[in-house]
Amino acid sequence: MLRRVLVLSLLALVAGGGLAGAQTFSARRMAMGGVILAGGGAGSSSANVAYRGVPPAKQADWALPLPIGVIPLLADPPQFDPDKPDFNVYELANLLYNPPWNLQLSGPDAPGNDITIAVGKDRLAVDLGDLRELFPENDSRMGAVVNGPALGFGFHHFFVAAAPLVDYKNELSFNDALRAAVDGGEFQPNTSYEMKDKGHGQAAAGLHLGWAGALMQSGDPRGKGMGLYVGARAKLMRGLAYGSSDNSVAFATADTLFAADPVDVNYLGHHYTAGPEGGGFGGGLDLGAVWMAGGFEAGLGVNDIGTTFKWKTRESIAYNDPITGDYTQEVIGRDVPLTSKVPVTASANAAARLGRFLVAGDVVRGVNVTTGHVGAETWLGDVVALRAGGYMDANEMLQYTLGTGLRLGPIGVDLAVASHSRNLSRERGLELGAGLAFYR
Amino acid sequence: MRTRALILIAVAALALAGCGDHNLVLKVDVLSYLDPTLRALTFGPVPPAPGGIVSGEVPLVDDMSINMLDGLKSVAEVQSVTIAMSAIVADSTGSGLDTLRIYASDESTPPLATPPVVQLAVALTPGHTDTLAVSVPADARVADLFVKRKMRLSVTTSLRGPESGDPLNGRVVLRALEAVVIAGRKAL
Repeated sequence: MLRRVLVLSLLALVAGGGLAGAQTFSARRMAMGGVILAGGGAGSSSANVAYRGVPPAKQADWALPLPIGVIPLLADPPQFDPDKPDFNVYELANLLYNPPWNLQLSGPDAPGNDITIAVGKDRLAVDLGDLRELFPENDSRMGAVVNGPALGFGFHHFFVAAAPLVDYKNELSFNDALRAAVDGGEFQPNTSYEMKDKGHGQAAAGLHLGWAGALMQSGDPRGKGMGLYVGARAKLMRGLAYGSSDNSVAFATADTLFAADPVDVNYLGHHYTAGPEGGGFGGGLDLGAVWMAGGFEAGLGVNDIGTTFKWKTRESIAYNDPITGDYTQEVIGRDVPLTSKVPVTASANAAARLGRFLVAGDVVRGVNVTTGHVGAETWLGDVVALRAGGYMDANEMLQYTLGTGLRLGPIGVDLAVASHSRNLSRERGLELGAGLAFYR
Repeated sequence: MRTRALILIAVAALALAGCGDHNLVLKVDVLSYLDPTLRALTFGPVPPAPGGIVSGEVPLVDDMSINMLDGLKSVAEVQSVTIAMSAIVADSTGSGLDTLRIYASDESTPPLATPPVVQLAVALTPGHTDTLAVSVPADARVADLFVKRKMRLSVTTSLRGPESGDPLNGRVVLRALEAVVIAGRKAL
């Protein structure tokens, strides 16, 4: 139940957008490298609360992303029954990475090779083939703080909204010996092998109360005037689910790999879990500032300053019985108080109008990863927009984006094509995003 | 060996959870478990006698325990097992017959209480050295053994000496004994 709450929350929030390393749902933003849009736009105010106080442009638009990725999914739905021969866990995992909103034009094929395990009295080797790509060269780290879409309203410069939050982080590491074995080397006698996995996930929902507005403003900040905008967003949240796990599996080979006596393997897991009934209240603060002058703007947003939650958790340990080899989970504490912390994330962005071009860039510090985005846009007349961009993604790969917009009176269509590496094997894929734009 | 294979089993499960045509190929070098001194049999002199002297089934390897990859059974369903054996037979004098038999069983059953898994009959011709090989598919019982934690193994030899002529002298050396297990995804 707990796991289900976490997973469903994560799925809902990933689908909700706003995550820098995730799929971009605004076709305009996607075409511009996923950059925080100048003057505010899709996802801007969640990254930098001060954008709520920036006055909208005269021709400000609102966009309706189109879920064109749903079409092939409906035409050929994935198999969820693991007993069926066409069940494919890679396909499902990649579907989680890429919710069926944008249309995936190309992507890596699921590893299709056999894997071979060679066993002898003094030999153990694994040939994973293409599956080796699933293991990153270095330690595997993933994580994000996802502030979901806020549903609320504003009054003057104040606003109130209900919004969910999900934070997850996981670090998986092998020691050198195990890394070599996974990479295709043979297991060696008299060697210690160790794998560690540490992670946590938490989900909460609550209220955002905030204020965003101009500290100073003169003239038209988008023209020759200037403006300094700041915002603060207090989060009053109620924890819904929490889970953390610290696992270690270690074993040491003897003189002979497959000797008569089994190798003693030490597995120890230490877990804390809590459901809605164990969730307490928590809070945190987002701060942001945007400065605009003479067609230039710069913003700095810092989120989840001091965001903490209090929980009453179930503490358990898991271990293997060295005699039977069976795994045992033992609850060692109930209502164990625990305070969890949400990592601080930050974004810095800048944009400038250079003649007919709008150029923008940002750097986003997330959980365990820093990504950067750049993008540019120009309009041919008021009818056709050309956009391009690029970004350094969470896998430290440079990705490229391209797009266009066609405006016909008050309605427009935006299209974007972007490369990405959001898949299990971190290979480059290509996706198409589309949306409608409504102009004043 | 139990948990050493955890990661392998996890990887195997991951691999097999992909498309239905993925296979896990487990190659077990059974010969490597045998002490080198047990891989060869020197026989003779076996004097000629009417009908030939029959040695009966003599254990070359007597009920040896082999550690396998525990946990494989929970993620993979064995589709086929092929056992391949080859031996070098050198006959210096005399003629006769030898039959090598491999027996395999689970932890609780003596190997010799089960039917032989592989049987290799060797005709011994004076002055000849031959490399003989046999590869046979195993039945379901044997297939099941290779995804268990342990199995027991016996190798026997049955010699029949010459009916006439020189006494039989020779040597049989096991050169390879390998099992190849093809496993697919197990229904969850």
